[in-house]
Amino acid sequence: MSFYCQKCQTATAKVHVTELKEGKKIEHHFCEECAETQGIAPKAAAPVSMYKIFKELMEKGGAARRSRDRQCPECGMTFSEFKAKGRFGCPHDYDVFLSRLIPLLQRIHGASQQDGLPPEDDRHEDLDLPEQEQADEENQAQVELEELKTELQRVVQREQYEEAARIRDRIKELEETLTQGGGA
Amino acid sequence: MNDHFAASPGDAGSWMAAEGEDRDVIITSRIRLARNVNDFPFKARLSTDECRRLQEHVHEKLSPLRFADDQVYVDLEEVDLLDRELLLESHLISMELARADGPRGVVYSRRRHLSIMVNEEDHLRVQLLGPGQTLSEILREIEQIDQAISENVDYAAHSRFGYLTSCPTNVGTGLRFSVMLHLPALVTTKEIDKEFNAAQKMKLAVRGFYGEGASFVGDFFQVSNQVTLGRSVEDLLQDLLKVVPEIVKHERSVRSLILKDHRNEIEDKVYRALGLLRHARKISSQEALELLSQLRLGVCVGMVDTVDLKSINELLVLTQPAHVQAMETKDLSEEERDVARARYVRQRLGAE
Repeated sequence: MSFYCQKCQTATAKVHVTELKEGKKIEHHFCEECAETQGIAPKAAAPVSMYKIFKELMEKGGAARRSRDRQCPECGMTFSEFKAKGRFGCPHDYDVFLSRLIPLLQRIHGASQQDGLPPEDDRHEDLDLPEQEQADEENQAQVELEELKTELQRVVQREQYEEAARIRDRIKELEETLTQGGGA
Repeated sequence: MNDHFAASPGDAGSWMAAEGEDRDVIITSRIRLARNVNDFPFKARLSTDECRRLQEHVHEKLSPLRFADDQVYVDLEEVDLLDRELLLESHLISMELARADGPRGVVYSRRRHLSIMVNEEDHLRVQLLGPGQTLSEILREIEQIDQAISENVDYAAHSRFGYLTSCPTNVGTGLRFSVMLHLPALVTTKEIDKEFNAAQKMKLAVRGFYGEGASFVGDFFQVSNQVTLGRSVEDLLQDLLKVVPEIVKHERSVRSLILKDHRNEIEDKVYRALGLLRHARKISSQEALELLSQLRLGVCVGMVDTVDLKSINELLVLTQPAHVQAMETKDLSEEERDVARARYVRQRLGAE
């Protein structure tokens, strides 16, 4: 048995939604297109659509990057612009990007504060250590994310769609943790 | 050619005087400070107008100060390329400052031991040069200069990080020590790699004569601290004072060793270099650098006594392209420059 889409009345309804309203069941039947325009996403369509994977990634990734990439209110510098150029835009950047700067300074100088300050280990743990641990985790997640995105392009080219879907889910997961943890 | 350098076109600068401790191996000592002015964005975010405003601000604040009795201020937008290249070859300004556009300037001493660059990668780059191993002396002097500037200019600083710089590789002290070494024996015997590794373990960087990214020409090397954060200036100085004398000692012992075991070979190399320098009719700057390096070894080990160390050190500066051009009145092609260079070297080495 098949229905016509209750909205456009022309295409075959493929999305069936049961709504509970005041204790009554109301059934809706839409074609995929109308379901999307209504904001009702079709349940993970069986054959994985590459278009959708990419579309989701672009939207998701874009949003995540925007919310993660803090911007200095004074000079407009973002952390990714700094990473690309290796130069800061103004003195405020040192505070704006503090949590991500600390591991970077550790790598360059083997220290993240000037000489003469009390050692970080002796400071109150709630001050700097969690910040640094979080920054380290974030860095690791960032690296994994970049690797996954490259891997995704590779498997898509090889048309390994199931693998692509798995990677896509992992990317989503990572981006969510980064967005929450980034404290933008 | 305007008058900034024309006053003394054949002058290589006081720091090439071949004085100071360990002059047989150490050519010069240098200290550089990176400083930025509060309430201005860093260079990457300065518009041309802001660059100009900053330059004027700094010039106004610095002009009442006397850092040296022979100091000059040069607006680099107003001088021609040759003068900028001369300043570059004299290590008074950086490649970036010499060849980039935009408002920028330099305060320097005519003796060429001091320079304060304005609108480099950082708003201010203060630099002092000294002959031989003079790090401790020039440190004291540059600290006084820094103090004097800070009383007039509000530096960008942070309670946790110290002096803030445009690139995080300079943050903290903003201070870079560097020593230029002449290591022909360590290069010939390939012992140099050991010293590189030892220096790297101490977080010191080793670079060629022409600085970052340059290949090693004529056995001249620059050793400098990489770390600027988390250590005191005194500790960083001690690192260099620990490593550099070891390199000097090693170079000297290998010099005597090869002189004992391969005297004929070394003597031949040194005198061939002297012969070419005294008689060649065309010499490129690179060839001059290589030959001068070999001759320098001969002079240092007492093999050649008709040439002094000072002349060789000065020739290292004066045989560079812009310096050769500056001694001539008309514009030279590359070939004419090689001819003029060879002629000048012959005169300096007493062959004509």
